[in-house]
Amino acid sequence: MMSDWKPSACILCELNCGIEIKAGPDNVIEKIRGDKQHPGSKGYLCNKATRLNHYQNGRDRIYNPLRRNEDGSFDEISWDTAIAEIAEKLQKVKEQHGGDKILYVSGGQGNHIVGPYGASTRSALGSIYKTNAIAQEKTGEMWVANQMFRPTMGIQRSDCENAEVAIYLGKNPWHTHGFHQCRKGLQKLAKDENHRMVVIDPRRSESADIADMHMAVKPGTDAWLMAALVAVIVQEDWVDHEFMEKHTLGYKEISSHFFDVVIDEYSQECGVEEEQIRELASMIHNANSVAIWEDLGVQMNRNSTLVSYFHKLLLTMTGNFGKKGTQFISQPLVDLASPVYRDERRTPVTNSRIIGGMIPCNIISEEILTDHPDRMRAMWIEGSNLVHSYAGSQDMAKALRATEITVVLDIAMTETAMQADYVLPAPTQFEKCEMSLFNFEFPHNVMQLRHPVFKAPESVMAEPEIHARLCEALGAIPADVIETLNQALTKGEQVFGASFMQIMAQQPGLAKLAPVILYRTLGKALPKGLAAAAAFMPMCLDLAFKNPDAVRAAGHKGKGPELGMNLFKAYVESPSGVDFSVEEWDASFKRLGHEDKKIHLMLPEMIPEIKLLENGFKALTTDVFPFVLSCGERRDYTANGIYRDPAWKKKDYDGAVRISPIDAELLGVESGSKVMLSTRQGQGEAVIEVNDRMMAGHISIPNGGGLTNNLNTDKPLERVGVAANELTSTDHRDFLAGTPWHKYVPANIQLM
Amino acid sequence: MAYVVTDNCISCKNMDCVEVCPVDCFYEGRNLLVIDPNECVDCGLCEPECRAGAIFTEDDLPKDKQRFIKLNTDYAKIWPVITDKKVSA
Repeated sequence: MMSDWKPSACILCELNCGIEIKAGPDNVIEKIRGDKQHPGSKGYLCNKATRLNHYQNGRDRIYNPLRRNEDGSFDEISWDTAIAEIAEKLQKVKEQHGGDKILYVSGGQGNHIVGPYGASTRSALGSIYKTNAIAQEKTGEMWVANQMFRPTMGIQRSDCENAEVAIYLGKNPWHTHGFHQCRKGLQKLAKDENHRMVVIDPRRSESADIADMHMAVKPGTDAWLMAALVAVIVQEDWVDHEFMEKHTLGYKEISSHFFDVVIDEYSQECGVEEEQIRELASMIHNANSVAIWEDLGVQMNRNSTLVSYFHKLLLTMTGNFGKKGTQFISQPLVDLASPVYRDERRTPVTNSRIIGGMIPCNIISEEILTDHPDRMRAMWIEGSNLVHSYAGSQDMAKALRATEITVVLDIAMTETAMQADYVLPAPTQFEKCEMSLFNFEFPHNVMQLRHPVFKAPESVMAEPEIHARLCEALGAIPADVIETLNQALTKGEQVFGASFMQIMAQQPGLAKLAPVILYRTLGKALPKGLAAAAAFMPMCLDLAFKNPDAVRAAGHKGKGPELGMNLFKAYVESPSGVDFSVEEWDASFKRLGHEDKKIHLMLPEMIPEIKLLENGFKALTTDVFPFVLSCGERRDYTANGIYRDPAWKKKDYDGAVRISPIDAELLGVESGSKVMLSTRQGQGEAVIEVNDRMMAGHISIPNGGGLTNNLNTDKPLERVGVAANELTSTDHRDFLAGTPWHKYVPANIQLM
Repeated sequence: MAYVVTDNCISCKNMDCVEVCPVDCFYEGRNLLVIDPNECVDCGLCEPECRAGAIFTEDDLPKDKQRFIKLNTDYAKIWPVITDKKVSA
């Protein structure tokens, strides 16, 4: 009997836990449960996944291509008209201003398969600037990792799950996870006498409740705490000198900046007792393995790149690299980071650093709203509601209207789609072939090709098809290549593979168009509904070529191209996911990419920043804005913006402003009080929740609030909760990575 | 916080709750199941599965059923774990 449960994945956080969906009629998700066959999550789920029908059948869904009229209304148009007009207008921008003036923005948690296809369109247009939400979170850490380790592939992270001392820095893993079966793991680790869990957070988070140590750092002062920790290690000489000698460069130079740090002074700046700082330093010194997981609490905060630097310095100086429970460099399926790590480009208008190939999200409006001759003139946006999700919503909306053409692909009429010239309706992630691309696990890594659970509505179109049609309309796909490959395909997969490799070798200019070329040829030979997987065939071949032992250790057989094709076959035929790489812990050493194969400890850009710490913390709060607002706190009922209707929530419907009992008393507010929350950027009505987890002076709101009801014209505009980015400013950003300070927004609360 | 099984569970043989639990934290007595509060991860999958209306979050637990918090805690330590629905004869 065919099972009526179909495998897929949750799309609410980067882990993409395997789920099984019981599909009802009319594309309704009747039930969701954890998929025990998924090699990573093994049946585990958190509370949020079960509500995914609120995405699958959410409000504001669009079904037809739309073209904006001058008065801001939209007309439905046919796909042929949409593709032809968009191709013509983008071509015009390319001819008049250059393809590099077309900015490409991607996004959508789990909305990953479009990646290579978008690259084809960008190649056809000559678009070279791109970004996504990673560039408002992780680029500071990525920059530091690149300077220190220069990974030849993959992402550099830490293994908190197996560490004797696991430090969560600005991270609440109870809600934000980080590793598979996270809550289960945290509960187990909390009881394990050989495991110490440390949480660094101004708020007494749910994770802090089960931790061995909670360091209640004052908001925005993490750099002083981390500098003090490094300084104690240096001053006490708790440094792993053998590791320094063998694997690093620059210890002497960098350590000289920490000998004079007065721990007591830095302790006062960050509000953490000197005794507690020394206790943690001693724990780090005495442990066999230490890992740190830094997250948005510090990455979207003051001195974020500097904090990332101290984090990696602290672990490396104490020899915590390349073994279980320490820092690692993962083996990815698709190498998201290293090919672009060495990107030294700057953006044309603001001269901002491009890290990992992405321009900072915070500078987009500045790169458009200017008379600079090299400003961005067009935008292609897919799966990203950047007007809602990036800092300074008001400026972003203006920027989108200021381009010559903005195209938005999405399933819903989002705040971003409302500003577009063309809106193209996509299937939901359960109505198309998708994949989970964030394979950051180590030493055991999993990939999943998610088969469609439902048939998509007739009038919507999946992204690979849109990009293929656009590339064809732009005249970028040579017909003879398609014909040659289609003929080769009739002679079997071996002949096809050889023919494809030959064409790519002869015409290297076609490399970035390969995804569309494969989709149009190999795609037809793949099982029904899975044509979009075609673009990943060369990536499987590449992985098998570069790291055959890891692929074989994951259970795939053969060598050379045969191994790659077997991996691809397993990928296509394993709807619950499959292991693609299994390695030993010391594999990370092989991926150190500096010529001398060492970890470089000295980052000259950071030295002036370290010196600035001596002047003490400069608060940005004022009499007018006396509170530090943390935007985007993850709670039981917060999720990314794909849940547009607050009806999905069982509690905290309004996404309340959390405030400490002391501040509540001073302001004369109580839980349920209606207040106006205001910042330099904007204001919004909110509801108070008095919460004893909050530190005095620190308030928080969740992400995902204030989404508008854009298509239901019968009902008055309903907005629930505050839209966080109507309160954040684009110029409050890190000096180096350009990442925003969402966790440090000076704000005021007034009783209404 | 965790989910708590209460007396409406007594003699119910559906066990759909057990099937969906992602962390296998149900324990089986003769007439009743309990949830181990130290293992429950608050995912909430079991609550809507329970046709008997026996499963509550600690927060929503009616006043007259508060004693089930201790009962769940105590018996989870003694009773055997149950991970799959039993097919009725």
